[in-house]
Amino acid sequence: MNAPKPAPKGTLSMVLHHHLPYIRHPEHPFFLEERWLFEAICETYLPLIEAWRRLEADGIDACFTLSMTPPLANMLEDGLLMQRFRRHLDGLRELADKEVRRTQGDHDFHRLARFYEARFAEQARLFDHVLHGDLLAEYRRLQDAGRLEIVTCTATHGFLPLMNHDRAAMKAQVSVAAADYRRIFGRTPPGIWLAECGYFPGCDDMLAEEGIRYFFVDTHGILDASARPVYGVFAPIYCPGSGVAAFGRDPESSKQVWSSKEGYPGDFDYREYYRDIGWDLDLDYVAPYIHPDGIRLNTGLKYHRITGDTPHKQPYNPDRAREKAAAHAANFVFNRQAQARWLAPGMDRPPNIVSPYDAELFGHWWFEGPWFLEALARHIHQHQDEIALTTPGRYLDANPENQEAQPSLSSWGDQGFATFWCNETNEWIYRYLHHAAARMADLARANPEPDDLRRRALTQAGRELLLAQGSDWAFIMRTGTVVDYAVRRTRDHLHAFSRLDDMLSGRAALDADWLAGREAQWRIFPQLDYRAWSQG
Amino acid sequence: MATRKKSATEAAASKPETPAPVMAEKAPADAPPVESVTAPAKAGKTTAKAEKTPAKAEKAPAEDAPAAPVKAKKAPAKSRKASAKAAPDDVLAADEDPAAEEADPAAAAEVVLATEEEPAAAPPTKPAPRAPYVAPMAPLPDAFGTDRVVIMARDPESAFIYWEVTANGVGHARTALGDTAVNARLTLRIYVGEGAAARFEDHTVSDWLGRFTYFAPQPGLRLAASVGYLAENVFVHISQSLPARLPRRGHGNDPIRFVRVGPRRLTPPQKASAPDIAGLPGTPGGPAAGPGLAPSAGGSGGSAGAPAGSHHLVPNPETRR
Repeated sequence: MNAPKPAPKGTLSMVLHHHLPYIRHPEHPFFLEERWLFEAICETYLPLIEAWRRLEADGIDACFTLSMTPPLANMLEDGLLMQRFRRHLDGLRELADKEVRRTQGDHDFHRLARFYEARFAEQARLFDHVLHGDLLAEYRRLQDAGRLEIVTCTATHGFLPLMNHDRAAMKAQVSVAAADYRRIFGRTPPGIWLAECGYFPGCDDMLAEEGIRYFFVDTHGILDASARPVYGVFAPIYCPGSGVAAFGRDPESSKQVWSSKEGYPGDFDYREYYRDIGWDLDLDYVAPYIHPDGIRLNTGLKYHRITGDTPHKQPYNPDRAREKAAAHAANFVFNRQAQARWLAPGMDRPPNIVSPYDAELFGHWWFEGPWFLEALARHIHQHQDEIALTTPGRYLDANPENQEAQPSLSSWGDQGFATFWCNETNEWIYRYLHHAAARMADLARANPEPDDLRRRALTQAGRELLLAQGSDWAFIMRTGTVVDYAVRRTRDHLHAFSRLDDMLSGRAALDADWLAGREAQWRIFPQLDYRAWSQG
Repeated sequence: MATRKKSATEAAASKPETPAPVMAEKAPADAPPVESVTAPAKAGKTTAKAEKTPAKAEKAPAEDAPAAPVKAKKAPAKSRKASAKAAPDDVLAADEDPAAEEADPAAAAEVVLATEEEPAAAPPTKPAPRAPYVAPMAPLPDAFGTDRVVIMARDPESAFIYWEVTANGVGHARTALGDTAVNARLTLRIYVGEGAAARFEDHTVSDWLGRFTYFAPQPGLRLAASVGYLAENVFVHISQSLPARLPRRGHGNDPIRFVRVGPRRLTPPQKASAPDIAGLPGTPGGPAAGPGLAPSAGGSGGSAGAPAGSHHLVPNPETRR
């Protein structure tokens, strides 16, 4: 008979932030930016679900924390996008099949082509026959089974520190997200991922009003709190007044995964992201699997490993990479054990190490990331008893007494504050966003009992405003990547909002056909209540 | 990324074991007719243009490029620079894609493999221009006809301010100044600090619609802004902002106390203090965490840990602390 495990010295909260901006273009048969979702499903979401299912089947006691943003959740339940994803996956299977034939005679590449063929076939089986195309149902099931703790995010990834003069705007970002979470997951969100970890003192009041217990901040959000944090980032602090808990990011474990210089993902045995047959092979051959206009894209079939600082990349070996991921997972756990051993004697509770990451790092950028996470959970369960995986909710249940202090304004973006979303590349948007938010509050208050058409117009105005407020557009303008698209989206939603404002304010006639068109295209938040803006 | 000196382990790991079977250099031995051919100039040009198109989601290197995160990062930086120079109205009015005019030399060096179907002798046809997802739109309005000034904290040392004044607001202010209005200047007044240390700074501005970045002398300050007319030491407000507080650097001095929080409500403090572990790893003044293995290999040649590129599935080191 096995002896019961001793109480762990410390706990580890692995937090995976799942987010993509809401991109849906039914007016185009192919739309490039929609591929972000399809790639993320293939490379991150399905592999993670597979990992969690294997852990569950093997009885591994592991619970991860997952933030699921409303735009992503709404896209995952969208019939059109899921139909297009299925088409994308069919294309991958067809390409892998062609690759199996093309690479006959080359042992390494042929083996890899077969690897992809099997991988895509298994993903199709999982998506179609196990999940029946409904990823959200699986996330729900995993949460109900205690395998995941799913938190929400601001409604469209709105960055609260740059709205903080407008309580109605912020409150709508929080309350719309909480309502949508209740619609999808059937319960109150236990916590929230403030977009970009963007916190400013005072916004926690709005979280408390929605029954949200906790949120996350970057390290300095805790270390620069209103009182000296006696446990550093290794225990949450409660915001004065609201009692909402703030969990701080552990810098050491973050660096081990994030750092481009020292992090695991740069290991030479891991798959090279920047070599893809969409770029390596003849254009005519890959044409059916890239942009219809002939623009080369990553297809997802990559045959090389990082190899080293050399242009001559060697063939990728998935088996070797998987072994390396397991070794890195063991190393990661070893370091967390060392942290817990070091910290525990000075604390009256187990130190909690919070390690948050963008989920899309695992699988999309770091192909072996899902294997790493699975190996980490197995290693913690099977090979040691000094640390245990936990979630913020479970930690608070076990440790309800914590220090009270106000976290400081902070984000996890470059430089740690709001500058990444407000600088010379993107600051022009705020004048328009703030004006629209103020108008939305006026409209909501002026229309307590509208007729059906006006209600629809008010609701769509709320959608347009929320979509314009997403932090993704300012982010893209700053990174300089797909700026044209980000500018167009911002302008498009602001124009639509302005037109609805004109209609609702009597400066133009209500155009039911045009409204129906906007509703059909931008259908996020099917149960949106425009009165969210009248409560600020 | 590829600048770190390699350790002996890494050097061994990176040592080519065999001549690298790069696809463009080595074709499957018994595959159907496969030839390595250099991409026709037209094809290279097409690819280069595509790389610069903002609609492109991801960027890949030329055949012989190394892991290429550096190149992949630099291209967006160009776009950023161009974007940064654009005045807001220019941005709003821009329906063309200026970046698409530039060619990417990295892409031009691409080597293309022939396929089993066609030996890629013919250059691919030039792709048709991609339709915008919406028709070109009129610029957003310059002004909203409302007197307004807003200040937003950006970081511990700076705040962003924008304002708009209307003819009506200007008229009222000038009327209030009376005879001195003739010498009055439109002024952005910034109130800095609070209590006995409160002061203000005046900045003459020329536009009724403008923006300004204020650099503060120290973190944590309370700031507010007002726009109005100043003449002979008399300032008449047109609009005043709500206050904003810059974030502090370093923790504050509130008393240390612990509270127990049940589901959605606060209960009184249970104790006044707790064991103090200040100085432990991750705490102010604390050392790096205790002993542990370093990751077993570094990423000097890697790219997966340095996701740069243009995709917004972006754990980008540039954007994450």
